[in-house]
Amino acid sequence: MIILSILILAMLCAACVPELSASPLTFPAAAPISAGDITYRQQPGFTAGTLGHQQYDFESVMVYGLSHNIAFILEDNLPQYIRQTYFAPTLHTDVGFGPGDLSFLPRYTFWEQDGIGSTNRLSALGGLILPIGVHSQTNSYGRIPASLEPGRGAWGTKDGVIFTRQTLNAEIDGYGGFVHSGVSHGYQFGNEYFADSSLQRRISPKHLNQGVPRVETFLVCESNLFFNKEDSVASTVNFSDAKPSSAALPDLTDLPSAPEPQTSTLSNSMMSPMVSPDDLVTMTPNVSSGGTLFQLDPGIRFVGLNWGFAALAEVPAYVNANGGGYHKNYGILLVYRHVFFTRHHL
Amino acid sequence: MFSMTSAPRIRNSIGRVLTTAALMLLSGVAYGASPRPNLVGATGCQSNNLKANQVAVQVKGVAIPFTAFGIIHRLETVPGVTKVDFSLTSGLAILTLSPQAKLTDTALLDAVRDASYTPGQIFWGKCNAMSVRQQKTSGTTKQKPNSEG
Repeated sequence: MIILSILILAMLCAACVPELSASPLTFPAAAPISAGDITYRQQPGFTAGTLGHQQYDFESVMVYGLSHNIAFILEDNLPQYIRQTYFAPTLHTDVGFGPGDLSFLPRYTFWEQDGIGSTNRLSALGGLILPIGVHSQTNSYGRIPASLEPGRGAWGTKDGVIFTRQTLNAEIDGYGGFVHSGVSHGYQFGNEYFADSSLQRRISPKHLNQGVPRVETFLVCESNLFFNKEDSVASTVNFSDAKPSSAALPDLTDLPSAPEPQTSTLSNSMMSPMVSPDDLVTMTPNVSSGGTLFQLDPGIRFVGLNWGFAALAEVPAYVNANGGGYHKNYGILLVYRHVFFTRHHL
Repeated sequence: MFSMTSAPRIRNSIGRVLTTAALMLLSGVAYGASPRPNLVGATGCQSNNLKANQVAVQVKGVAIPFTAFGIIHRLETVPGVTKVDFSLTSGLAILTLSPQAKLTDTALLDAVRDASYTPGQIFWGKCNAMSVRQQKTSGTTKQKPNSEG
């Protein structure tokens, strides 16, 4: 009887507490988009970190609703500016600037449960990262580190699953997945595994009347967990003299101190022309790359009928950067989004 | 009839039953306070708070103004619809029709699904020759009358 009473009390509390509603800001949602509609999102951001790292992003995201459960997502940085200062051996600054890679991500909503003023949806998202971004940039010191370049120079994939629950008063989202990148100029970014969450609560207007409010205001708290594996650098072993050589490939600015050759072997087609047939090209980890980052993103969001604006702070709560590499100190993100209606749909 | 030792047990049982009943009553009140459509009537021409040239469509899944934009514009593209008013709390889209409109349930249901939402009941305005004729030709299954009426 006591257990039953507690259960009923819990159900009562759940019924009485205002329902926990708007799309997340640091990752895509499974929120509905009408067939033919285009949502365009522009989000300038600034990130500051260790090693004098400063990064200005101007990310553009476009979502097109193809049918009731299929949408296409295009993401790109147009442009991106990254600056980092080193002691190598004297103090100097590297700057990477230009458009980033383009992500083409079809999204399929495979489960939905709609109610009056609420929806629960599960979507799978998977696609390609097209290497159209600027890479192989140089300065007076040679090539800048791959991690500072807007483009990765290699094809990649991004896959994930998104859950969205929208109600009249709040929204909860979750997103988990991974990013895989290929090899470019002897450098491969490590796999990235991520888990994001978002909680948004409407604070204005307090009560909804008939019709659609002109503006709704939400308090936002998001979290992002990233786990990046170490990047890999190509190095060669020449069987004729059995001496390791790392100078054969150009992009070695982040090369660690004499690691043992291991992991995958590059195919012949990916070898540099400077590599002789006697050389075995292997990938060695860059011990100063990768790590774990967990950040919290408190902010505020305003939502209108065909527009939205939000401001977020990115506050790292846990950082574990491998080998004393760069890590984020803080970030600021502004988001403006606009939805366009088109008649062009299936 | 009852021993002295069983009396407290009976009082406890009565107390638990009353507590449970009170909680269930409060649950019912909380459920009753949840938003529901304010229209009276059902699919058919029985609604009494719609004009003759209006039809209301229940749309499930719309929670914020940003997503309401899609359903409003999608319904506006349905031939014969001149105006769409939407209410987030009730999930009702009130469509105002032109006098020449030849609208069917199927067209409305398709438009809602196309907009990525789930259609609910359709409430036609006061009986008129146009709505009766259109419902007969739409071929959709009539739903049960709304008990709230």
